[in-house]
Amino acid sequence: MPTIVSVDDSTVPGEGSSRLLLLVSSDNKHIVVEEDIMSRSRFISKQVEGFEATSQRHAILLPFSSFVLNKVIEYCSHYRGYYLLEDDPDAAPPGRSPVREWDQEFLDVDRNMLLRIIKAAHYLEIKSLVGSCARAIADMIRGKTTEEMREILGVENDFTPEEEHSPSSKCTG
Amino acid sequence: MPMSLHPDLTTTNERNVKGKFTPTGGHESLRTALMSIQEREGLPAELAYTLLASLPRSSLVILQRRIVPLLQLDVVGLLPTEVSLLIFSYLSWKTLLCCSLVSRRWRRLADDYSLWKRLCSAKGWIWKEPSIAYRGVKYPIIEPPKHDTDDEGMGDEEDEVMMEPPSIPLDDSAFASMDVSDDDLSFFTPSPTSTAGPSNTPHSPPARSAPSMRPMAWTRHSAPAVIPSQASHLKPNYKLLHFSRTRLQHRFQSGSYRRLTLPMMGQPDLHANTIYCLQLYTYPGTGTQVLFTGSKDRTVKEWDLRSGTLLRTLKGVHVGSVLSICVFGGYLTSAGSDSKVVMWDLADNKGVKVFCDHADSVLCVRFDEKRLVSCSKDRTVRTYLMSDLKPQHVLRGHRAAVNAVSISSTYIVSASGDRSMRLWDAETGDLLRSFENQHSRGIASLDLDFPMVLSGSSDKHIRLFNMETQQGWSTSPEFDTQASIPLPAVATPIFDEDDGDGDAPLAVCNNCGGAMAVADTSTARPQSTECARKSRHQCAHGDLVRNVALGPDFVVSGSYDLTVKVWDRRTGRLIADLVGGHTGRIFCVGFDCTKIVSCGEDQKICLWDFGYGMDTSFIKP
Repeated sequence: MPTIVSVDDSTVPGEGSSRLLLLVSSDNKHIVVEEDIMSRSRFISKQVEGFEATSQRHAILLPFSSFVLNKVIEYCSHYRGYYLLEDDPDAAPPGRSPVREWDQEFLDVDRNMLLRIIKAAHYLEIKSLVGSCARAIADMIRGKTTEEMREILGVENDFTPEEEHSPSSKCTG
Repeated sequence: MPMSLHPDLTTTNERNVKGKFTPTGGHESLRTALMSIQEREGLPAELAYTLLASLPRSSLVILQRRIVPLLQLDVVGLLPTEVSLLIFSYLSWKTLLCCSLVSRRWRRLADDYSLWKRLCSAKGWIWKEPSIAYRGVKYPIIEPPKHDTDDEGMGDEEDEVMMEPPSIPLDDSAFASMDVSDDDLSFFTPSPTSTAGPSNTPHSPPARSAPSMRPMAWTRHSAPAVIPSQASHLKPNYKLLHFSRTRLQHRFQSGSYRRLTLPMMGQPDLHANTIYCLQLYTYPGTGTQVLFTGSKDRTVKEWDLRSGTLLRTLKGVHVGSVLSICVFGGYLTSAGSDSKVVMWDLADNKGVKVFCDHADSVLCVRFDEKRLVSCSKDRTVRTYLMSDLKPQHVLRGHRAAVNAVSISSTYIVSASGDRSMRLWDAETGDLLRSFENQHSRGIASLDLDFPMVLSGSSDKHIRLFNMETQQGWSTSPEFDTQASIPLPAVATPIFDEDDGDGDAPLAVCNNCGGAMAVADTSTARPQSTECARKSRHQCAHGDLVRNVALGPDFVVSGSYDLTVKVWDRRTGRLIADLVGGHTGRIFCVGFDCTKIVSCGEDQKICLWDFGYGMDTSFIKP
């Protein structure tokens, strides 16, 4: 298992004004990334605030693989310095904004990967990325029949015949 | 340091194969090896393929069985609930209904309160605490009315002699269906959600077999109190609300209704003459909906819509016909042929103010929290401030009687027999714009949802147009700015525009009621589909359009031709033609999301109920 790496501020070579962060993935990959790239992540931001309070900088351990982490970093790097309304913790919850074209291409991956990205984005609290993934998944379901949904997503029908056809299945919300 | 599988992937795979396959040591190591390559290199498809190709056929078959579930990943079910709900929040109601049949987990997610609440609020559909439902009385058979042809509520047109009113055939057979059978009374029976039985309430319901017997509760002459049923303590069921509203919309679209008639004859309480005006009103405190009517018999009456019984009569002030009423915020104003406008306090059940400024019949009155506006045969429009009920402006300029007026918070629109509509600044009283030649004859009726204005005229046509762009539709080809835009060939469900799903297949939704909501055609009237093929010009009224009402989705018009028509607000397509209810000219119409009410010369109030057989107690009109 990876040991907690304590990183002293002075040992991290500063590049410009942005400080560096050490992220450790579940497969024990050490990834150094500029702090402001990851500022989109509420989770990372809160960690950094914690560092500032204790003036101790640690590596941040993340429960997903470097493969996924790199994908998330790619996303954050692309939007480095951009303001995205969804990621503004002070902004009102956004309405239905148009899909960003780059995100669509970025998320053109297999379902396994999509699932891992959205889980990672959820863990890191990157709302814009969670939203884009959610939309990509919604696009897979939209307009499909129940049978098609089961087939596409490999969901098992675990209803008993009574449950499936019971009138109580309507409007029980 | 040993290479270990990251936990999220491990759980994913294991949950996905759902215990059908127990990994053996050998396979596990191969999997780990492949996985580590994948992790390190990204996706070396070529390498993986080469490896696979070297395996024997039997192994490939096993591998294929294992790979398939990997490709078909239940991305929705495996996520935290909040994320799954976010995914579902991008879906339409139709897709959600399909989702709720996929699996138990999916059903819990797709039925979630927050999703349906959002869908409802996007459409402006509000949950109402259900109030107690009264058990209805059986309506008596209606006798043919006395025939009186004078419509005092319409001023003469400019430079034109009033048309001879058409002779109206009286046909007794038309009344045969008015006697509502017991089966039809399902609408009136207490809703299943109202678990508080009738015996728990001081308002004991009247026996259905004795319609003339007035129970104690209905002799009170004040706003009826309502005891909230037990259902009011329940959390709003927004899925049910969405389902019911969608179903109602579809019934409007297909013209599927049950017609009921409020008992107006043979009882001392009932209007003794032509009913000129009506308005549906919901008491803000209790949520109880009632109907107010004003008649040539100089009275205003309030009706309980559930039982069809009279709640009270406002009388003794008007010395002429009541031509127009307006109810708002606990007050009612009535305008009469005696040139008076009377304001009534509904809580105290008495007149609070009489305005006697007009020189001739007051044809229409409207008010809101800011001002009261009345218009008259004397060709003027008068405004009063609600703060002190003092006169504010006299709006002059019309060259004939001002038949109708409509208000918004900042504008007043008036329509006159001089064929013009005028837009006034409510604050200053300035004439902002005059719309001449909107109709080929005088304008009889008006409704406003600024900037959209709806008008009906002696030229037999209705017209809806935007006062800012002057664009809109009309049943008259002469005034139709959208005539070149072809109507959809079939009845498209207008309420699905915002779904963005295209045509979600609905056949699979039989169990969840989704298909019911859009295929409830069992009682649809055939004429509505016929009308869908005709252009709006071919469907126009056959006589003067005496009253119009503008709603968020539909337009309703009532005419001297004895019919009430329902139009699609957006396209002007005729949706439903309500015939057979009236035997006299129709003078007023009103509607909400469950019903249309109409009244007129035949002294009847027709209730065209689109919510028959449904629990509508939680629907806020």
